[in-house]
Amino acid sequence: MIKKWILVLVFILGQLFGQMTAREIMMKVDNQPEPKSMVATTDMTLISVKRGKVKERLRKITRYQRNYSSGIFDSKSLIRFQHPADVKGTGFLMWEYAGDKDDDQWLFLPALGKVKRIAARDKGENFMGSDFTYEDIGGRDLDDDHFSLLGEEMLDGNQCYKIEAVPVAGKTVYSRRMSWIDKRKWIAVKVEFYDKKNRLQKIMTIDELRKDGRYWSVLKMRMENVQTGHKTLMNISDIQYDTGIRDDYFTERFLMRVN
Amino acid sequence: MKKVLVILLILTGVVPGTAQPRFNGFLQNWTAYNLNDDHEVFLLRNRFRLNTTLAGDWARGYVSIDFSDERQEDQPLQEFNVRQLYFDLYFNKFDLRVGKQQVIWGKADGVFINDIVNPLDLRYFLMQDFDDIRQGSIMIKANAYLGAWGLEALFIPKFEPWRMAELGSPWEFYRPTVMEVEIEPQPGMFLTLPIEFQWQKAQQPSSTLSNGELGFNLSGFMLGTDISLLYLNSFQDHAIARIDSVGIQAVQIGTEIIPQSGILILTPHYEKIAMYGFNFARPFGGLVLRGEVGYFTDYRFSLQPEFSPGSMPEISNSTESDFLQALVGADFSGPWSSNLSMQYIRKQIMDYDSAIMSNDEVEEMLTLMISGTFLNEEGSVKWLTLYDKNNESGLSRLMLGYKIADAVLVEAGVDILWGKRESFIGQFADNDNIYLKLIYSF
Repeated sequence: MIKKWILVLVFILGQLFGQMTAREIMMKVDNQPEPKSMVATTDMTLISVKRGKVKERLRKITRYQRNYSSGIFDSKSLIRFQHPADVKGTGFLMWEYAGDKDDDQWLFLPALGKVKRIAARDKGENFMGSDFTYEDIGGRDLDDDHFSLLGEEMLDGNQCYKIEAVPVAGKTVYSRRMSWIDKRKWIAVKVEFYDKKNRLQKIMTIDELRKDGRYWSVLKMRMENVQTGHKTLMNISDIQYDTGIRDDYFTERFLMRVN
Repeated sequence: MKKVLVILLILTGVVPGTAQPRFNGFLQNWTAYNLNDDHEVFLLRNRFRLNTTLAGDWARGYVSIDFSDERQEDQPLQEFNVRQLYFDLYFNKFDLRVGKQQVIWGKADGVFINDIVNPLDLRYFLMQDFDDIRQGSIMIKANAYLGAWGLEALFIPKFEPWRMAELGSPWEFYRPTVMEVEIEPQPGMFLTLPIEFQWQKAQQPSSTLSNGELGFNLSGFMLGTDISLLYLNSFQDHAIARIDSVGIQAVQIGTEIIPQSGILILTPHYEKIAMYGFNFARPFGGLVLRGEVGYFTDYRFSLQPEFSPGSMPEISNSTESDFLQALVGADFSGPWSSNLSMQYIRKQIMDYDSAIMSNDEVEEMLTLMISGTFLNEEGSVKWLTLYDKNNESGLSRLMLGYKIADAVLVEAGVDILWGKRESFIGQFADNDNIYLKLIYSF
């Protein structure tokens, strides 16, 4: 009971003196306005260095997403692979549920002409061979981490909160994450990921942002694995919000329809 | 080739709101060496695949062609093949596809239980990529949608049989040419009679409306499970031998006629069947459980010719029985993008007759596949094994792939086959091979 009152007191004092807690900051980041639907094209460049030789590979996808504010679904998304040529037309359909229910996922392989039901991948696995894991892209529930505000720092001329997140629930491949939150935009513009041995593993940096109406759009970001030297550059273009994609677009019918 | 170009031009004109045609495909070299026969070149195949898509707002045209130049055991062959050529029309709750197309009805990997709409191309047995094993069929297909459910109806006006390897090919299917039977022409006198089989060209069904193939597939999503209910009125995939006539050569010794040898003249026929099927797939955490059940009515099986002691051989043809094919499979997702897939297949003749040739009452098969990627998906590895329990035969393939560049894949592998000479897989036990594929995709 005393603990609860102390928390309330800290909150009131924080409000009085304008100082937000780490969790409040992260809640504000999490509560950014979310579009009802979104379409965007992503170019991912995978860069590896072997014996001093740089090798680049390109992945290109178009993502269609519909978000739900009520009902059983959290979101539905359809990803269409555009490049490289041998996987062009491959489709990935995902239904994410509100609550703890596992996602439903289907994969369409145009060469086989077949839709295959697949199990939700381990969140720690890399997405399409990139340095982003499914966890990095999908994020974690706020309740799964304990946040600490370590101070404020200037980053590329922007004042940022420096926040440490230590997992307390849920599965993760990291021991902790360090985030720099832009104080004006309420977006994590840099995140450091530490492996289970608490060694710095990866650094994610947002290089370009744009405000489209009510929504912030990330246009360029990169993830560098400092342990392997491998890195991934992500360029996001052709972003459209609230285009009114119909619910039935996220079905097997459209998963199989490759134009 | 000219015909295809003309069709492309027509499609460009008729597909409303058409953008520029889009092309993709690949160039592939496939070189294989036999491991059992002085390591000779077993297969040398160059192939060019071109897929063309013309997509509009409510219509789409698609053409997929193959040109291959190959040498299989010193036999050169050039071939141009239209794999698929169809036209789509999209409506609000209804799609129509007309033309040569592939329809996939199965949940299985690498085996065909309910996925029997299209005939197979078994010229390279199961060694081809699976998208090459299934042949396109000319058909009309309509799909209607209501929420999470869809009904597919298809009609194939003309039956197309499986495509088998040419005579002399290392993948030519085994057909008995001679058998020996013991007869008793007189009481107490036993003779072993050699019977020669003479095979006639397979008799294909006539192209009448009643011989058209008709199918329905009601599929949907319920309680987290993908479900399909299937019906197909079609022909058996492989022809059943009917004995047209029997000839016996005999000599007369005194008053006795002693048979010396026999000849059976056989003609393979395709028989009509009806299939009732059910498919499902459902994930449980990191596991996907899936299955197929196909129940065939009036499936026809060849019978051994009967030779009664003391009399001339009787002509036996074939027998009908209901037939069940079922599969249950499990896919596990592991670390490092790895997958483990296991399948159990059971085939059962419901009214078994001991005279049925080539089939046991119950036949079982197991498959195992382990695959994964490494080096940020630059490399891939796959190990696939099919095991035919009844005939103690099987095949095992190990593949290693590496992407030199986004567009260039080099794949090396080895195929090992074993088992009884008369069995489906074991007949190719001499075809162990090591291969290299170089694929440029565009």
